Amino acid sequence: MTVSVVGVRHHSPACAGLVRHLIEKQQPHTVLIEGPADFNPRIGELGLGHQPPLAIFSYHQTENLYSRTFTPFCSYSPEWVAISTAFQTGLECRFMDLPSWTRPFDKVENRYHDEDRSREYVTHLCRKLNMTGMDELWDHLFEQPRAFYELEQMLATYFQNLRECSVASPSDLERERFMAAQIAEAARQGSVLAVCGGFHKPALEALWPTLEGPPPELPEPEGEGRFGSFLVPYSYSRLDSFTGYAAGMPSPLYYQILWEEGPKAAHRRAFQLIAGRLRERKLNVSAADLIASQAMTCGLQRLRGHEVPTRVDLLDGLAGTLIKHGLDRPLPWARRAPLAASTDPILVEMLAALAGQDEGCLAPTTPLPPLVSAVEALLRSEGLYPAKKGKEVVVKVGSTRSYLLHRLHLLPIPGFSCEEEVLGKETWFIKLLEPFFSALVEAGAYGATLPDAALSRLEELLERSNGAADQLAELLEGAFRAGLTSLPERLLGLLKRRLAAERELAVLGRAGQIFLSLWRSFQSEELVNLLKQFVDQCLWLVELQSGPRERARLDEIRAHKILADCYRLLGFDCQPLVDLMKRRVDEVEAPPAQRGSALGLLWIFDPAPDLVSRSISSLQQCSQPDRLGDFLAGLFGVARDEVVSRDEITSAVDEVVRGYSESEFFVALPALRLAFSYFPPREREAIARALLKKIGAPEARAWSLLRTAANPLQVSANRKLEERVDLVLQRYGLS
Amino acid sequence: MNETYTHGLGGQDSRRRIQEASPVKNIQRPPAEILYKAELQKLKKQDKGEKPPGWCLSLKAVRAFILGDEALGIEPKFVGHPSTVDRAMVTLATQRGLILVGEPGTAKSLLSELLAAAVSGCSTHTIQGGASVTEDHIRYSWNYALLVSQGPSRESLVPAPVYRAMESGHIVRFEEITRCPLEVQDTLLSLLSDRVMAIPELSGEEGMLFARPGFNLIATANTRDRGVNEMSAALKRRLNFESVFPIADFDTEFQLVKRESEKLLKESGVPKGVPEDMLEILVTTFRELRSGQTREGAALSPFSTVLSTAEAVSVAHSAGVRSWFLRGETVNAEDIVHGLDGAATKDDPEDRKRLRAYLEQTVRQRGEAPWKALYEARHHLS
Repeated sequence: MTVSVVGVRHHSPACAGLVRHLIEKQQPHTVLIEGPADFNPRIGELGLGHQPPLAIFSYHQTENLYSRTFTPFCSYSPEWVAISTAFQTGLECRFMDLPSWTRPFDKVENRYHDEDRSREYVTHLCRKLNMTGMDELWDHLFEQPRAFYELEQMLATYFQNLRECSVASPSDLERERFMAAQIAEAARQGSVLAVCGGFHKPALEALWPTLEGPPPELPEPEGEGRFGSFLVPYSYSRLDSFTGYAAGMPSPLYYQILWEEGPKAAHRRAFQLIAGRLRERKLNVSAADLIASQAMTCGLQRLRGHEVPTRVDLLDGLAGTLIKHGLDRPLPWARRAPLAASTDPILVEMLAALAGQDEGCLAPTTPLPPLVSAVEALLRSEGLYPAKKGKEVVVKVGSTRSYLLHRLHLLPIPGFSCEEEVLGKETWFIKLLEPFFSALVEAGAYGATLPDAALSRLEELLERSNGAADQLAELLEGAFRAGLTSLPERLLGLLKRRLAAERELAVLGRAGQIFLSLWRSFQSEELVNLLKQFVDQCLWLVELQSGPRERARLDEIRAHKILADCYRLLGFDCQPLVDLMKRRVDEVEAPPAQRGSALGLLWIFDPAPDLVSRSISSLQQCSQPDRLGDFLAGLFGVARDEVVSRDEITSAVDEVVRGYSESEFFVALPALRLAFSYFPPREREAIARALLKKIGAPEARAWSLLRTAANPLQVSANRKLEERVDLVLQRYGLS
Repeated sequence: MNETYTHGLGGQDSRRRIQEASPVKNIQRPPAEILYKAELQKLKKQDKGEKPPGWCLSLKAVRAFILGDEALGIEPKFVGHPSTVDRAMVTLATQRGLILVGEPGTAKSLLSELLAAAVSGCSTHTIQGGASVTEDHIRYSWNYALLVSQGPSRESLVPAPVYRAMESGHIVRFEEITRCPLEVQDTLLSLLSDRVMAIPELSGEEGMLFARPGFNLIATANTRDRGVNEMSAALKRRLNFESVFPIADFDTEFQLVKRESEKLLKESGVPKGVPEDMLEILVTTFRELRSGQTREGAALSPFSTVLSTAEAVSVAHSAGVRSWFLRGETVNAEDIVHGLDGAATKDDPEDRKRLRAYLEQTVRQRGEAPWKALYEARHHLS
């Protein structure tokens, strides 16, 4: 019987074309495809008329383990094209690889991800052909217009060399034994065409003729637990290696165009898409620039010996002509990694245009993922099923109901929002919104049960986060509030490392605030340890701050306040804090707001008799109009309660301000307003009374001093205008 | 063939006459077209690719010259992404000029010299940017004795690098362009867009110098100078920017530092290179201080002094010279600390504190013998 094994690269349009051509030409009895064999009884579901991208989602859960694996397909995946062509031509079609719960797929998120195989061979080829990486090399060799025969020969040589230059892992060998047995079995029935990752092709060709006897049984998962596979919609953004999590390929939309319209049309369409998107995003791209980039792309194409420009030729041509400054890091397509946070906006938009926003859609008759019924049952049993008329529900923090709601919120399922949390009770607003059901189906891709799905979602958010301490702290908060116990350990480890490396006091302060609020609700030992680490790092950063002309930053003042709360609530030994703050109050190089905050901390933790005179002397040191307000903002932001009762300090401030000329006063005013905004109206009135008393004016006038004489409507209109200006500034990244 | 060339060195315009017969060893630093003359001739001989107008070599041959070609026995001269060289060459073949941007010591000038040597066979039409550069240094000036006696004529005109490059269809190099005042940089605007230089003092055909095919500009700019003299949007539009980065891979950087420092030490009369273990700690230290991250993953306070590969070579060289001529031995950790002290603390006195903290905190935790030696030698920091 004839058996042909077609080696492919997953998600390669050229390979997809070759597979379709070979199936149509050979009309084999059976088409075998590298994919989860446990899905074979339901393989017909793939032909229900879905709109790719979609994926087979496989999960396995035991008491100690939860694993999940996606097998994603786009319209141009060779595996998808093989299935579709087999269905259209009435051929028998089966998956031939091990199920996703077997050992070789342990911790494999994406069955079709590009493995870093034979780096040596690929590096050698790249060096020889002057290519930057695997993606560029592949497009150069295979995604050019070629006859099928020529392509088949080239792929065979490439995969043969790839295999010879690398060592197959035990997992590869285990899978290959299973796949070869499936081929041998199918070959007994008739001719076979097997589609597999190119790396396995030489091994499968050599192995299958040696196998006799019945194929091995489909392995069952070890231990007790739940397992299964079902179809879920997928999206290009998840598939895109510049943004996606365990993603499979760069620029999926580009390859879809390549598949649908061919290599000659692809670069033109891609060029239009990019130019359109850049202009839509108001990034300045002139016609002259676009002409120059076309010329550059064309030059690069000829230099690199391409019949038509490849994706990298196009991107290189555009980047070479549109970027008008030096970059901090090499162009993103030089390697496989998510985009860094500070990537140039032109590059970000170029890649977004080629990634596409397409989302897959399952046919209406597709069986629903188990998460849907699991969540519905949970909501009904807890009496939390949403209705069209929204309702408020009060739940206890840390209760089963609170966990349930937080998990739904995390996924995110629309219609569940936490309005407030007071004294250990949360108020939720629950309402049935239109996308509730579809969001639940989509969330089915994260897991079969709600805790698993929420955990997977959190892990995804963790992968996507930029790794800053405050973002990690937010995720930790999500994990605690949703009662997810397995992730926090990993997150805690990450957080500990990140806290030690954090250089921004503001970021650290935000993280500390979250830890403290969590500690108030959950009081775990880990949180105390994190807070200790936060305190240590804060003290170290405070020591390093310098800049006597720096303006006050609210986040940094808040960090000092959190520091004070930590010492007060957790009872840490405050001597190191006091020693440091004594140094910082007198440090002339320190930012004024920080000197103020340091003084505030001394008021709280070391109210020695000489503190009043020390306060007045440091106030006088920071009495310049451009520093006074910042100093006071730092002081009041940390120790308002302690200072408000001290007439000496308000008198000292009064004397300094009286000494200002009119122009100096206007310089000082904005920061002074900020400083006094820490006082609620009643306390401000008390200060005003004290001042009026001092100058002998009637105290009754105090309240009127705090009220503006301006028309409230005008004030409101001005505020709205300011908000609009802020929005515009934010939109253009200028705030 | 007699060729006159100007080689910009640190703002000085020194003129030298080089004859073809001149042995390379008589020149302290021969330009690329002389140093690699044999390779260029070999490439030219076998070059069958299409050449852009005015170019000595095809683009593929230029690439082979710069990135190396084992089959032809051409040594690689620039370590970096091949696509950087591709984009740079294609830019030079179009109507836009090229500007190479990057941190100091990332081999921008080397790349510019190699490109000019391969494309035009001449890398010496060079302007060294600086605050004192004026339009005369770019376009032309006058021989005043002739100007007074004969009036303005082609004979009394003294061509500057751009004039000569336009006349001969060569590449002109403009080093550190952003160190020049904005109005001086803008002299290039019409030269780049219209490719013609008007000389109003001369009449007739001599009054207009049209650039020959092959003329283009390679500028370099240092990211540390960003904002010193901002470049006008008009000039930016006429240039394609290409960023050049420090070497990403440890092994490549290590091999480069080893090779280059051995070459320099040999030239300085030191027979032994820096031992590999010392070189390894030197390159690791440079990479960690440059990236602000240790190999254990901890963050370091970033350095403000530039720690380029070129600087690492220079430290290895000076450490080798110091150990050999002062003690007659090979380099030890003490020499490395002295070298680091000088190199890492050029711009900012705070960097010395950072270096001390690195030696005392990060290096202390490492158990291997060379690192222990480096830790023990920390008190040699001044």
